[in-house]
Amino acid sequence: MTLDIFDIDDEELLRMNQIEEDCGCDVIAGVDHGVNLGNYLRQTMNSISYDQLKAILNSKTGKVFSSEDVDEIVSEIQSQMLITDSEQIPILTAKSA
Amino acid sequence: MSENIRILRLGDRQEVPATLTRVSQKNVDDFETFWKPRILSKNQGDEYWDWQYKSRTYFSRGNYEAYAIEHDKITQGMMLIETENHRSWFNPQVRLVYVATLETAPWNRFSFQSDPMFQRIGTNLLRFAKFRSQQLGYKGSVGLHSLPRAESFYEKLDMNNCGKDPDKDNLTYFEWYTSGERQ
Repeated sequence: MTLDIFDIDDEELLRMNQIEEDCGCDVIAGVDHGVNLGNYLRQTMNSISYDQLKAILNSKTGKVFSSEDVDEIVSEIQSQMLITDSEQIPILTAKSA
Repeated sequence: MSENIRILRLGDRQEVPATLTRVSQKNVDDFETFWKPRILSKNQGDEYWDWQYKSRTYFSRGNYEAYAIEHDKITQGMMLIETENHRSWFNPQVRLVYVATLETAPWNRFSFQSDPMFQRIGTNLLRFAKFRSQQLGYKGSVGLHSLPRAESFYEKLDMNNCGKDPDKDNLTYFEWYTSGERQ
């Protein structure tokens, strides 16, 4: 087998088809902060402060994000959560009051 | 670098030519223009990787390589691999190619439409990761973390299911492991 040319023979192509059809699922992989960041932040924001959240993000992502990136993320999340919170405040009615 | 490959158009089940190339700004632009709006419209806004961000962060690093598959001048799939710093879970002395991200265009995903347009996008990219591993002398060893909905696919490819990784959001780690490689 030469390692200069990427080549897949017919037999392997057929097998690839079969596997994809059998699974019927997305072919997707990888860990990324974008995948679970939303849930992660929703959980953590319930019990910690802005500074704590920033510290956690820095410790978790310090090798990937710059401090400026983390600042930007925390600020954006905070503003989005404020919007969400304000939308979820129940409207008092005569009955509920 | 550009490799000619064959993908399968599911509409008429015809093989069509495609190219596997290094990711360029054009591919990142395709992500922004064609992929992202579709992903967001499906309310899966937290389930995408920001290739614009990745291009800024990783593409200049020597140990990362990014590849794309194009057909009809549109990006059909992308993959980011790390080639120097990851080791086998079976033997820490064995280096491997780590698939940091593997993603197909929304229109090629079953989760987006019941009749995806093209098949073999992800498999070609993954197979290319194995090819790179062989080229680098890692004998085809490849590792990746699978999203839950794709686990059965990697199992059928005979990758070893190494269990959930608490350090990676509890995603399941899979590995093609070939023993005997020591660096």
